[in-house]
Amino acid sequence: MEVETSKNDQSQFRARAAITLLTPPVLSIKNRWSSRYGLPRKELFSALLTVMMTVGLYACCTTMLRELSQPLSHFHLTYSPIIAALLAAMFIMTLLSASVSAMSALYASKDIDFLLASPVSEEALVLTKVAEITLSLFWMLFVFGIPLYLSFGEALSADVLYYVISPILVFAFLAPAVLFGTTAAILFSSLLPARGGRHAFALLFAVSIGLFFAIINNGAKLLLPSATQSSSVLALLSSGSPWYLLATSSIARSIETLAQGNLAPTTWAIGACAGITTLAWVITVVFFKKLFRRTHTKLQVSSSPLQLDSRLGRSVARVLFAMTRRGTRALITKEIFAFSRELTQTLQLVMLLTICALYSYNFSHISPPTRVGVEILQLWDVLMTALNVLLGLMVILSISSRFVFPSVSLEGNSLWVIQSAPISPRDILRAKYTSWFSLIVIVSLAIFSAGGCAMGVEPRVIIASAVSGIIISHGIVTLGLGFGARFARFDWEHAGQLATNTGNLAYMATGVLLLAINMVPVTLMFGAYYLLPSVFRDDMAALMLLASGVTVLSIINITVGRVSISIGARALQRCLL
Amino acid sequence: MIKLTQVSKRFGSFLAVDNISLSVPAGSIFAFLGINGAGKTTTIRMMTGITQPTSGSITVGGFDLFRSPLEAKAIIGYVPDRPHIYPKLTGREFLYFICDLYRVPASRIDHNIDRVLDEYSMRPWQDALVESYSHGMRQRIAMCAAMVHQPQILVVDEPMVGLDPHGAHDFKESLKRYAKSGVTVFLSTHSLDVAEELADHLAIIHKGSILTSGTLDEIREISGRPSEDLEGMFLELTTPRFEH
Repeated sequence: MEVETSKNDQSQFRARAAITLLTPPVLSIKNRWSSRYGLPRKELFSALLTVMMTVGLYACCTTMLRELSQPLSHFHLTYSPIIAALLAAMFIMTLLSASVSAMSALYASKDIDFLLASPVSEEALVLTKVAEITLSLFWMLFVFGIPLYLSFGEALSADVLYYVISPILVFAFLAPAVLFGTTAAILFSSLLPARGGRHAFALLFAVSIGLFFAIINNGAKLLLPSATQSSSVLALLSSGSPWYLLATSSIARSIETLAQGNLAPTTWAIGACAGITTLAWVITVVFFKKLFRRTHTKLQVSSSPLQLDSRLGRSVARVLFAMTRRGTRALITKEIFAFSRELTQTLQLVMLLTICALYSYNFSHISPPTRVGVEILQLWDVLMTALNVLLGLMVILSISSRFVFPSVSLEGNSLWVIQSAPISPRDILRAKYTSWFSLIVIVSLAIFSAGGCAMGVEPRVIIASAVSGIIISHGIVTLGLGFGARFARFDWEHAGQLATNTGNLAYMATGVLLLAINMVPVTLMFGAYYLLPSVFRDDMAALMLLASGVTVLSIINITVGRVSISIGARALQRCLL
Repeated sequence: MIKLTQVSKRFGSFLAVDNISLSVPAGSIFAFLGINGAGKTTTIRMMTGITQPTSGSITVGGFDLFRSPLEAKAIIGYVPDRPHIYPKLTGREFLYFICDLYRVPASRIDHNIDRVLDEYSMRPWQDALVESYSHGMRQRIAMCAAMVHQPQILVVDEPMVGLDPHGAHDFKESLKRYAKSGVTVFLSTHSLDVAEELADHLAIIHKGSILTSGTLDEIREISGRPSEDLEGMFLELTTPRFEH
């Protein structure tokens, strides 16, 4: 009888354990809003900014969908392809982010040893971590998702069923992405050899990218003969045909019919998603049970995989950053060592560089329209050149939001070292700027040159694009540091949390605004160059035009840089004292 | 060497440090005693320029900590109570980093690093990542970092936590050596026997206020218990009294 009672207690305890384990993160959020140490100004400001962004995004989406729904004689629009494309993008984004967050939450989290020592089941443990990953990801999806959800509801003149059921459907659709991402992280970490992990990873990733291109080039051609580039995969995902059963198309059509008050297809879709989620959950738990503890132990034991030799690293930094002050150089060297040895950071960088590669590859496959007049071809050149700069800068902004923005917060518990050292906040930001801008200049040069070469534009346009890109990258990086210092959070549990906080969201919104402002002179510069050939094809006139454009860009971005660093230094001063 | 004048620190409605004044003579070992939550760490964080006081002024080696923070910080070595150090650096890399931050002459960096590593028996682990260190080893590498730039003032918060008996012994001996060589040591501790053994001057802080300060004999005289040991006086002064 006693044994029986004890077993019952055990099973009840197991059921409660997952909820119990989730209380610390929830209480941490609640306590951040506590007014014990004065008004939580940073949180209030973030919340206000988030609401403003959500409202702004809603207004933009509603206007855009209203414009698109205007009847045009040659163009018939249904919303399901757009919804399907958005769902596909959200699924891929969730999958990638979940795998990075899982790597950090499972293997680099400060509470993991404590949780492993607690009398809780592995199911409860993995459920807690999945919930933590979901919370960190869905915060951003929530901010972007709510305006889209409301805009589509308005555009579709949706029934009340749409507003109640579609969030459940979208959640059910994205839940497997979180679970598959978590499983991928567990599997990948277990495959890492004890030493030289990153080299093995790089090799694995290079092979994956090669396979990916091979599949796109050949697989997509088989399915859709006109498909010659990776963007066609997105077209395939959203078109519905010939893949009637493809999840994104089915869900999108369910949402559209739901808006008309028809619940039946949605019930099937939710059922299918729930089935896939259950299967994904079982797979995640099995992998966790089989691999997690062994991998965790392996990572603990093999904790000295020195990728960058100390002396070599210091010597390289001394040569590359010879012009910087000693304190600044010390911080740069520290940043390089810490970054090159942090697996989560490397993983994210490789993912973003893959996006760069995909981006350049896509550009090389875009061909100008045929059977059109010279004016249209000139407009095409302006559009493509400006698009090359804009899309490249969007990639730079993504890289910056993942690495530059969190770089101040990444000091974490070691902040006391620079707090008590004789170094000013401006020098700290200068060091971080030098480290990250150096990397971003290389990426910028690669993106803009590769994009320009892929399009086959003139060398002077490639140079002007690259110089413009680098100047705007200066604005993006300094803005990231300013926001990073202003919204610095040093009490994180694992580094993955930093990229998803509201400050980063505000940074991305401001970054997009900065890009929009910069695109005005960029478009004018290339517009004048291509559309007025009689005036600007002369070498000197072309040089003057491009130089003027670059000067205007410099003024904008140097001003942004000065203001951002000044705000960041003031915020950091408050942290440092 | 260190002078705190009417220093207070308030966190919202909570008064952590209440109008304290202290003076630490050069070349002495000063023990700062108090129960948990008395305000020791807050005071130390203000003294090292990490936290800004709500009111009052702090002078370190003649430099006002808030008017000339860089000059003041350059002469302080600080060991925090929880020595969190960049986990992805090796011990030696961390010391190089500190030497560059504190502008140790390039010709002396390797010599200084080797000296402190030997002093705290950290040579065998100098090339291992900090994340693989035990708590005691982190404490020792933090001590190495505090001394590698040869500061004039050493501020140590709860130094004995996590040290093994050998480490604790070496640590006490090194503090005596530093004081003899003219370094001013400010030590916050729970270990009353350590304070009694090492300190030239003491102060007891309770609920953010200084209860008493001076040499051990002066404190005995003030408390009216000339034969009492430090533990007895400490308990007497910091035990809550209930009025009926």
